[in-house]
Amino acid sequence: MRLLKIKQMKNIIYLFIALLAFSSCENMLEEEVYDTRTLEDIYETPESANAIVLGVIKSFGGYNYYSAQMHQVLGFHSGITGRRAGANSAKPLAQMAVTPNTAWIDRIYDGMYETIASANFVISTTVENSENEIERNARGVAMFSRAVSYFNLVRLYGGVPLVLEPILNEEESHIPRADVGDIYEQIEKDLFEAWNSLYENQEVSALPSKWAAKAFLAKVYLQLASESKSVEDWTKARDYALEVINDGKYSLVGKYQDLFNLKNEFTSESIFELAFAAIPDGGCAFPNIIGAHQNTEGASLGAWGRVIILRAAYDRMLNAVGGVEDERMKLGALTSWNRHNGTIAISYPVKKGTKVNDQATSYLFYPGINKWNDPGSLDRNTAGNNFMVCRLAEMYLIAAEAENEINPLSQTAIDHLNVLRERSRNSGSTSLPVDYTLADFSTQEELFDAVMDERLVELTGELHSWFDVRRHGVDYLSKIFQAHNDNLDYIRSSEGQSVYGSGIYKSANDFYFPLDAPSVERNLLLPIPSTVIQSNNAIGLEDQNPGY
Amino acid sequence: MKKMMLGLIILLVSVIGFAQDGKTITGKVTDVSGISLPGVSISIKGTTIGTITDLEGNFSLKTSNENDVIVFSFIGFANQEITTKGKVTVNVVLIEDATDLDEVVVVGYGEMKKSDLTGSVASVSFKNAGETGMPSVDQLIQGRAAGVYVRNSSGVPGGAVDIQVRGNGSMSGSTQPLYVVDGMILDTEGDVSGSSSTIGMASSNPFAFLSPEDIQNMEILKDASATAIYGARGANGVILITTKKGKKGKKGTITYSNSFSFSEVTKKLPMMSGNQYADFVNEMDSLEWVADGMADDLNYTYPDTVEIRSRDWQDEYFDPAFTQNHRISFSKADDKSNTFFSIGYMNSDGVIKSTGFSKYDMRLNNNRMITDKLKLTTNFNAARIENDMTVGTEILGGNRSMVGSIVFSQPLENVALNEDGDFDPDEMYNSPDNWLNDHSDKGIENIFVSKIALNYDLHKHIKLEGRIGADYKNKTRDRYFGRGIRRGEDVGGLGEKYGTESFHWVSDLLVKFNYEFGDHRLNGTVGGTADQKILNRYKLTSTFFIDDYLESGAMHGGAVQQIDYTTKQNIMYHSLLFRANYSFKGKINVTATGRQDYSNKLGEGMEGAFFPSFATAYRLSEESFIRDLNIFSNLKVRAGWGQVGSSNVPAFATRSTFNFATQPDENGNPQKILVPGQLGNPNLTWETSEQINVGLDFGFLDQKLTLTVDAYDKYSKSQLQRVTLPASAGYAYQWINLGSVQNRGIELALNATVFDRNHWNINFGGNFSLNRNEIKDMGGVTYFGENIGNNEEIKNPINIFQEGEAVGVFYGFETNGIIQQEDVDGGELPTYYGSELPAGNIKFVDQITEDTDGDGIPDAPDGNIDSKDQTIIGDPNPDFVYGFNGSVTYKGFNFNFLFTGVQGRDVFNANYGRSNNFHNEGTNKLEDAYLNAWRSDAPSNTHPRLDYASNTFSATYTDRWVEDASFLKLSNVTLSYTWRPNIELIQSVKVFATGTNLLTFTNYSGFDPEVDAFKGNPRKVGIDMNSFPAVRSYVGGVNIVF
Repeated sequence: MRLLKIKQMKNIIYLFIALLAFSSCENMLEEEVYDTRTLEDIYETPESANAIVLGVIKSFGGYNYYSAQMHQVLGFHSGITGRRAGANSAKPLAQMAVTPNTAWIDRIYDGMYETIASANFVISTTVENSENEIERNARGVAMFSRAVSYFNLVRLYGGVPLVLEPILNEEESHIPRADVGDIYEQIEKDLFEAWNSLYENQEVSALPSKWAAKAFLAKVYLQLASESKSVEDWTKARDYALEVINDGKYSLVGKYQDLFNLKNEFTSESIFELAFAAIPDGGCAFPNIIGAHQNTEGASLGAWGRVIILRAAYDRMLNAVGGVEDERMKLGALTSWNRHNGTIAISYPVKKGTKVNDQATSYLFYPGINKWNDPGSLDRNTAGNNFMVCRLAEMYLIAAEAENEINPLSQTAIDHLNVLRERSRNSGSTSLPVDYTLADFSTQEELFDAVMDERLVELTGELHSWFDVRRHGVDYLSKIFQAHNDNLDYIRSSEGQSVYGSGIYKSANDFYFPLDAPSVERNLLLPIPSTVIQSNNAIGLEDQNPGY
Repeated sequence: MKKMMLGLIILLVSVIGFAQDGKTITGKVTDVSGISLPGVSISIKGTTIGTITDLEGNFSLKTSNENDVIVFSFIGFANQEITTKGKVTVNVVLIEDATDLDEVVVVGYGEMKKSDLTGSVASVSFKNAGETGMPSVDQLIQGRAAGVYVRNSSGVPGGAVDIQVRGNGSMSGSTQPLYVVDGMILDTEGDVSGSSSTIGMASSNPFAFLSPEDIQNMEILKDASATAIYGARGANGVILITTKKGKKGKKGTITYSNSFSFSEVTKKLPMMSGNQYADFVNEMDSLEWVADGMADDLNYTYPDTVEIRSRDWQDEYFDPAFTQNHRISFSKADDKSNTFFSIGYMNSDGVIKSTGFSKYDMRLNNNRMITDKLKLTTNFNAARIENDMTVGTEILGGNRSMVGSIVFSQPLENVALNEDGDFDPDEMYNSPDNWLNDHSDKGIENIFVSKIALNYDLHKHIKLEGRIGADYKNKTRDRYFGRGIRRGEDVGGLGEKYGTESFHWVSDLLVKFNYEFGDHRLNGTVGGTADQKILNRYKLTSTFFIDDYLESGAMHGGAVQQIDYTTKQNIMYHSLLFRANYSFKGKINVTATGRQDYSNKLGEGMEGAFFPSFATAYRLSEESFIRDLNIFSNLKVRAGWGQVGSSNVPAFATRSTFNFATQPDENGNPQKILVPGQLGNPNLTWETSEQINVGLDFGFLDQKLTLTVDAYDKYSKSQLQRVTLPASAGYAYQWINLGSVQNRGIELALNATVFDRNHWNINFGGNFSLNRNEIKDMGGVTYFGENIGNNEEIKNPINIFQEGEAVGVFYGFETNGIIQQEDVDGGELPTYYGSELPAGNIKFVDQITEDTDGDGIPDAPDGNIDSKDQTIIGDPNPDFVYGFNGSVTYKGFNFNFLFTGVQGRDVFNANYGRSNNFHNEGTNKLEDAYLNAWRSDAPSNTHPRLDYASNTFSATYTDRWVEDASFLKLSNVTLSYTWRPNIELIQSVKVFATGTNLLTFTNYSGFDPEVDAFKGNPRKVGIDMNSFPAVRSYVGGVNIVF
C-alpha cells in the first residue's frame, strides 16, 4: 500500500535524517556492490570482458566437471574402469546399480550446465560474424564450449533441457527435456559456427583453436554413426578426422610418455587441453581420483587413487599389445609400483606360483592408472596436471573405425592403427606392439574389435571408455559386462588363487554386473538426477530415462 | 496486592475499636530484596493526610486516631494497608505487583499502560533473573510466554538460540524475531545460522552480550497490530528488552552475585564397544564375500596383529563442566538522575573436553535531567566473548566435527581402518584425540552497544525524543587443523582466519503527543528513523607450516597463503512511522499504527512499502453490568489487524554477480578470471504478512487469577524464497517472491495466586500455544529445501514445501520393517529401481502410483520402488508447545519450578541414519543396530542385515530416520533463601540452588529432543546431525545486596 508518492516520502525521511545531521548522501538507497562484478559493470573494461571469456574455459575445469566429478562418474561406471575399495558412495556406480539419487551424477550435470550458462552469457553479448575479431573469437570459444558440454550431456543423459539463452529469472528456468536429435543439431550448428569464428592459432593456448571444433565434429559424427550405422555419418566422421590429421597443425609427440609429463603441457598432439596449475584455486583434483594411490611413490598429495582398471579390461589390453606391457600399458594399467615404505606393491595379474617380495594388499589388487600425478600438488584437490579433452591420436582411431565401416578390412584403417602402435613401440624398450597386417583379420568385426582395443590401450583413463562401450548399443555393452563377470569366475576358481592365501583376492569391488536385458539397456544412460526432477518443474518423474 | 486481604481484615477490626489520641508513626519502606524505596506515598485511609518516604525509605507520619489505617502505595507495587493500633514503628516490605493493570509496558517506539493495550503482548519480568544462575536470556523466556517457541537445546556454551513467535511464517527467510534493546533495533543478522552472511562463522546467540541480571523486563510483541510499527521487520514478532535503571535510595545499592554450576550430558548414545566393533568388521568382511558370491570360507580376523584396546569416546570426552559467574552492579537514583552499572565475568566449560566460553561485560545506564524539560538517557554496553572450540562442533559434513568424531569414531585405540576398510596405523586421523590435540578453533567477539537519547518536553502535550543507537561487532574466528586431522595432514597444517566487522546505527526522531479532554485521551508517536549496517568480512587461509606449534596465531608462517574473500555490504532502511491511541474512559481503546519502509536490499521501484495496523480493545469490566456480576476484576476483549513485512534477504540479492576464479596463465601463474556467480532478481519486493488477532483478558478474584486467550490467523504472502534453480539454468538459486503460508493458532496464558497468607505465597502459571501452519499457495509446484550437507550419504534435502502441507515437512520413503526370506520366496515384493532386493534389506512401501482403470487417479502400486514412491514422512512443526511453572514462598524461602514441553514434533535423526548404515566400516554404529541386525539364522524385523548395501540407497531417506521428538522437561527447579540481617552493611543475602534440565520425558533416541542442527534456517529444519548434546546443570550461588 502506498499513501504518499515515494519521492515525497523520501523527502520527509531525509528531513528527519537531516535534522539528526547524520548523512547527506544523494542516493542513499542505492545498493552498491563492492566486492564482486555485476551484470551492469562487466563490460566496463576490456580486461573484465576478456576475463569472462576465460571464465567459460575455466568452468570446464570446475570441480563438478573435468577437474573431478566427470572422472568419478565415468571412471566408476564405465565397465572398463571401476572402483578401488573405499569410496563407498561409488558403489552404486561400480555395481551398475545407479539410481537417480546416486552420488555425483547430479554434480556433473550441474557442472556441464555451468559451462553452458557461462557460454550463453558470452553468446548473448556478442553477434555472429562480428567484424571485431576479438569478439568473433570470444563467441567461437563460447560456441565450442556449449557444443562440447551438450555433447557430453546428451551422451550421458539422453535428451536434456536445451538452454541457449542466459536464464534471467526463475520462471523461465524450468525447461523440459529436448529431443536428442535437436540437441545434436544444435551441437553441429555450434561447432560449425565455432569453426568459422575461432582463430587458427590462439594466443592463449588454453583456448580452443578452430581445429578443435573440427575435431569435435569428427567425434560427434563417430557417435552418431555408431548409433545410426549410416555410411554418410561414418564418412563425415572419417573425413573430419582426416582433415584434422592432414591439415590441422597437430602432430603426434615422439614418445607416448611425454604426453603425460607435467613439464610438457600443450604438446603438438593436444587439440583441446584444460590448464591447471598447483596454485590455490587453480589446480585439479582428477589425478587424485584416477591417479595412483597416495601410498605410491610420486603420487599426488593425499591421492585416493579411486579409479582402477578392471581385470577383464586389463586382459584385453595386454592381449592387444602382444602380451607384454608397452609404454601405454605402464601408464594406463600399472601393475606394480614402489610404495612410500620402500616395498613394492604388486597387483593383478598375480598368478598361482608367482613369487614377489611383498605381500600385495587387497586395495592394491587392481591395475592402476598412472598418467597423471603431481607430487607438488598443494592438496588433494589442487594438482597441476593439465587434462587433454581431445588429442590427435583419437583422430587416427576415429579414422580407422570409420574407414573399416565404409571399406571393411581396408588397409587404410590398419595403417591408422599402426601409426599409434609404432609410436608406442618407439617410446620404450619392448619391441611390442607389432604392426597389424591385413592377415591378422579375417572379418570386419575382428578389425573393429582391434580398433576398440587400440582405443582402450591408447586412451584409457582419458574419459573415453564410458562412451566407447555404450555407443554401439546393448549387445556391445553386454559383451563388456560378460567379460567382466567371466573374469570374476576365473578369480574365484582355483586357478585364480595366489600363493598368499585366499585373502589376497578379497576385494570389495568384485561385483558381478547385471546381464539381464533391461539392466544392460538401463546402463546405456545415466538417470536424470533426482535433484533435477526436484528443482525443474518441467521435468517430472514420468520423464525419467527407461529403467530408472 | 498480597497484603490487601489482610489489610481489609485489619481495617474491619480497627473500625470497631475506639478512638485514641494521635501519635507519630515512623518506619521504613523497602522492597523484598531489602532495598529502600523512596517516594512511596503514605496516607491515612479516608483522609488526605499523608507523606512520602525520603531517599532512605524512611517516613514519619502523625496520626490523629489510634485506629487509623495507613496505606502505602507505590507505582509498580501492591498497595498495603496497616493499622497503627499499638504501634509506633511500622516497617513495610512492599511487593512488586506484576498483575497491576496500571503497569506500564514497553511497546514499539513508546510505552503504554497495560490496561490500554490493544495488541497481543507477552510480558516477562525478571525479578529473579541472575539469582538463579541462568547463563543466558533466552533460557529465561523459554516456557514462560505463550506463543513463543524457544529452542535453546544445544549444550554449546554460548550457542545459538532459535526463537519462533507464532509458528513458522517463512519458508526461506529467517524466522527469527526482531530484537530491540532499550528502544533501539539491534542488528542480529548473521548471528543466527541460515543467513548467508554467516559463511564460515559460528552462529551465536544474539543475546550473548546481554546479562540476564541487567534486564528489567522483556516484552514480546506477537500480533501484527503490535509489530506493524516495526514494519518490514515485524513479521516474525518483536522482542523488546529493557535494561535496568538506577533505583532510588539514600546511598547506592551494590549487589554482588555469583553462581557456580556443574553440568553433565543428559545422555550417551549406545554405540558399540571396541570388541563389538571388531566383531562387526569381521562379520562385514565375511559377509561381503558371501553377498558377492565369493569364497565363503574365509577366516579373516581383525586386526589380528594388534590387541584391541577399547575406547569409549563418549565417556572420555563428555566431561562434567564447571561454570562460574560473578557480577557486581551498582544502582542509585535521585530526583535528577539515575545510574546503573554492572560488571560481569562468566566462564563456562563445555561438556565436551576442550570446549569453553568466557564472557566479560559491562554496562552503564545513566539518565539525567539536564533541565526540567530536557532529559538525557545513555546506555552503554560492552562485551567480549571468547569461544574455545565450541564452533568446532558445528556441522562440517561427515564426521569432521568434534561431536561427530566422538560418536562415530572407531571405539579403538591406535588402530584405524583407512577408507578402504584396511587396518593402517598411519590412518589414525580425525579421532577425538586428534580433534583435541591437533585442532583449535577460537572465536572472539567484541561487542559495543550504545545509545544516547534526548527527551524534550516541548509543550505540555508534546514531547520530542531524538536518539541514536549504534552497535559495533567485531568477530574473528581462528581455526587450525594440525597434522593429526586429515584436512591438516594433507596440506602441512591448515590455518583459517575469518573476520566479520559490522557497524550498525539507528537514529530515531520521535514526536510524542498526549491530549486529554474529558473522558477522551489521545496519545501517540510520529517519527522518522534511519538505519544502516556496514558489514565487512574476510577469510584467509594459510597452509604448509613448519610445524603445528603456533597454529593460526601466525598465518604468515604458512608457505602457501590465500585470501579467500574480502567483502563489504551496506544495508539501509529508511522509515516513517506513527502510532495513535485513542482511549475513552479507559474502557475503549483504539490503536492505529503505520510505517513506511524503504530498503536498499530490494529491487528498484520495489524498495518502499507501507505497513498499517488497527486494533481495538474494550474493557468490559469497566462497565457496570459486568462489574455488578462481581466475577471479573478484569475483562477485556481485544481485536486487531495488521500488515507487517520482511525483507530478510542478504545484500545484493537483486543483482547478478560474477565470481572470481583462478585460471592459470600460460606459465602456470595464477590469473583471475570471472565466472557467473549468482542470479539476481531486480524485481525482488517485500514479503507481506497479514494477521488478525482476537484476544480476551480475564481477571478474577482481584487479579489473583488471570487468563489471557488469544487466537490469530497470520497469512504471509509473496514469501521471499531462495529457490533452487534447475541446474540447467547454470545458477544454483535465485531469491524470488513466491508462495503463501498460513499460520493459525491459539494461545493461553494462566497465572494464579492460589495462596497468599501468613507469609505463604503460592503461585502457579501455565501457558499453551497451538499453531498450525499450511502452505496455501506455491504456484502449483513443490520446492525442496536445502542440501543437508556435503557428505554423500546425507546430502539431499529432507524438507519439502508443497501446497496443502505444513512448512518443511519431511519427504522420503515409507518403510515397513525388514524383508524376510518368506517375502522373497512369496515373489510379491516390489523391485527397487528395477532390481530385486534380497532378504535382510529394508522393506520399502510401494505406494499407490499406478492408474489401472484409466480414470486418471492412481489406484494400485506399480510393483517397483522408485522416486515416485516417496511421500511425506514427518512434520517438524510441533502440534503444540506448553510450559507451566510454580512458586512457593515462605518468609525468606522460595521454591520454584518450570516444566516445558513440546508435542507432536518430528525430528529427522541423521545421526541415527548414519549409525545404522553399515556399509561404511570406518565408523562406529549403534550397538542395537549391530546386535539385532537381520541375519539369516536370526531374522530381525527391526534392523537390516549388515551388508544390506545401504549405499545403494545413499541419500535415500526413509521414515526409519524420522522420530517423534515430543517431550516434557523439568527445565528448572530452584530453592532459595533470602536473609535480611539487621546490620548496616548488608541489606540482604540470598543463597540459592538450581537444577536445570533435571528430567526429560521423551521417546526420542538422540541426545536431545529439542535439537535443531540448523537453527534459524527454515530450509533445513528439524534435523539432528552432529548436534551438541544437551546438558543438565546443578547451580548454586549467592546474591548479596549492600
